[in-house]
Amino acid sequence: MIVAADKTVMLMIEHKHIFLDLIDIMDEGSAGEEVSTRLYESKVMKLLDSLGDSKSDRQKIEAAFDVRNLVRASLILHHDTKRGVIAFAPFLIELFRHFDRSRLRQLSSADLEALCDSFNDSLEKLRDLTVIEQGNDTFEDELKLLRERIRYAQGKIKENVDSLQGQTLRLAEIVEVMSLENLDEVKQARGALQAITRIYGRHVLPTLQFLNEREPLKKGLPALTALLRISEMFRDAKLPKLGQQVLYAVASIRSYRYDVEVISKSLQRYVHQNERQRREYDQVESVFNDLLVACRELHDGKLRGNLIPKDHEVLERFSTFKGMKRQRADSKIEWHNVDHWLHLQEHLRSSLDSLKNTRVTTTSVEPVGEDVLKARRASDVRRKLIGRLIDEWPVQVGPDAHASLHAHLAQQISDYEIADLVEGVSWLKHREDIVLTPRFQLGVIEDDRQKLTYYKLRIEEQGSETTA
Amino acid sequence: MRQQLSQAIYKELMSGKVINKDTYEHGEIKPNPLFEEMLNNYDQSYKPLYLNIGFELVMRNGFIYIRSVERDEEYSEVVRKIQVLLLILARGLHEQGYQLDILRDGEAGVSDGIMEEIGKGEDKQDVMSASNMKGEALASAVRKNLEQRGIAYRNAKGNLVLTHAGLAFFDDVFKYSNAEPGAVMVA
Repeated sequence: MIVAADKTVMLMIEHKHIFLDLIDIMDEGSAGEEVSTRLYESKVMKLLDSLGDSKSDRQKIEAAFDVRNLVRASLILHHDTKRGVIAFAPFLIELFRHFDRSRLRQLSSADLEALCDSFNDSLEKLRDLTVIEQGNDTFEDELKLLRERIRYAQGKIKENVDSLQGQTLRLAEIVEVMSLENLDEVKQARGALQAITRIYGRHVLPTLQFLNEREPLKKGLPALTALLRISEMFRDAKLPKLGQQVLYAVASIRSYRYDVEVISKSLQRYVHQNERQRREYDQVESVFNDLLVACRELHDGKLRGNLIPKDHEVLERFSTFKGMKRQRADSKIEWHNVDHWLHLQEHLRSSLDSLKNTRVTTTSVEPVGEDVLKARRASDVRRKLIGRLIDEWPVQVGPDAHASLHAHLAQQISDYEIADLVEGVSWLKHREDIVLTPRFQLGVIEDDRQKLTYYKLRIEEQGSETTA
Repeated sequence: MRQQLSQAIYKELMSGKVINKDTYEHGEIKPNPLFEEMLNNYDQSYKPLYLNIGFELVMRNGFIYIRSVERDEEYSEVVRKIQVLLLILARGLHEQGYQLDILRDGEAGVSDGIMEEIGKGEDKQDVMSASNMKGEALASAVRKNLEQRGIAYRNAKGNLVLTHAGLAFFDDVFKYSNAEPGAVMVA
């Protein structure tokens, strides 16, 4: 039964999932727009099975989707019976791609290069013309070609951006909803990350290059620069209207740069994630293999009594747990909770004993030496000096309170030493206009005599939100 | 310096555990009061205190542990087992198709079933045998050497997740691998 081309196309649209699946298969493979006849027929069979008992529907679809009918209606352009492949008409594939923007084809470097070459070609041809004026046949032909090329480029770039947006949204969703515990989802996400990395490298970056007017090229000018030169040429030839039209076209194509930059930025996170995972895989594999080789070198086939040395080079590479306490044992000291009743008993016992003792005893107190007093006074003076310096310090928000304070005190105190810094930090903690937030990072300050290892504190203004 | 916290810290450190920045309680990750206590009094109190009793406090990114000042055996049996088990887990997860993030995510974690599968690998068994864990089930070895020392914990699902200490080991692995060939990490 022959089914007319328009009816067949309508049926195809009605059952578009078959053709969208086939497009996915074409895109994944390397055979271009060819698809296996057997695969196509199995999909049609599945569709027929799903139709149930409706005999007329079955017959109509069977006839319409028959390969011979599609060839007759010019919907299949190539049917290779030897290789068992078919190629659908390009317009049909494009039609289905437009139903789902994630299936639109992105522009490759070669496609973009071809667009760029076409503008450069127009520029060269127009330059070679002796007469640039409307009404001149050669000029009109070149102008017509240029307009077609601009329209084609605008359409392709728009399609490219739509496709990139659709594809990246679909792939990003797979990564985002993935559960780390579900192996199938993890595998899907890995595939999606690889696809994103491929799209980023093969489509996003070349598109950004294409839209960059200052991109240095080996051959010719960047596409938009070539168009700008054409516009200038028209203006110089007293054709300002045409020049303006080309400028509008440049602005229209250029406007997609922002969209592609947004896509690029959103993809970078996934590209880095993919890169990190790949690096982690390689590095774990490499260290584990070194360990395995070290273990297998030891043994006679059964690993009898052969232990890898504790300080083997593979194990010594990492200092994370270096020197960790050997034996796990419960501490021998038992700390009892404070028993307030026992404390009271003891207090009463000692107090009552002393009250009963009526004999007054006097003890002489050894006078504190002059040197000691002097030292104490000097220490107090220094502490007060540090306190005053801290109070007057125009403290600024910063990542490392110790380092900032060290620099300040070293400038203010002639005989400054690192011990003063410890005193200074305790004064700083009392300042009400700032907050010191721990950063959980170690810092070291040292001079010729002293070394201070400390946990870094971030200086923040009182009331500001912490992001550490 | 708070007495009760100080006593709890002593108990943890003396039993060979690490003190992590965060603690996992009732299905929630919370700041560890023991870590905060040490952080606030590190130079003034804890460092000299432990030095006086023959230990050096080692503060790393997100966790603290002690080692003997004598430094007689820097890479002990304990260190060997910890490193080997972490590497076996990571390699096994990759081989099974999982990402290492499963060990990092408190909501996910590695189940005993996955560990059992990993432990079946001949290469893993060889490495365990050469590390004095011959014939031991991976999950059991992990419990004794990682969970009980604060290097990993079990989440609400009962799955294994790494603490800051466990994560720090992989930071070192990735740092080492990115370094120049032949480079040696220094504490």
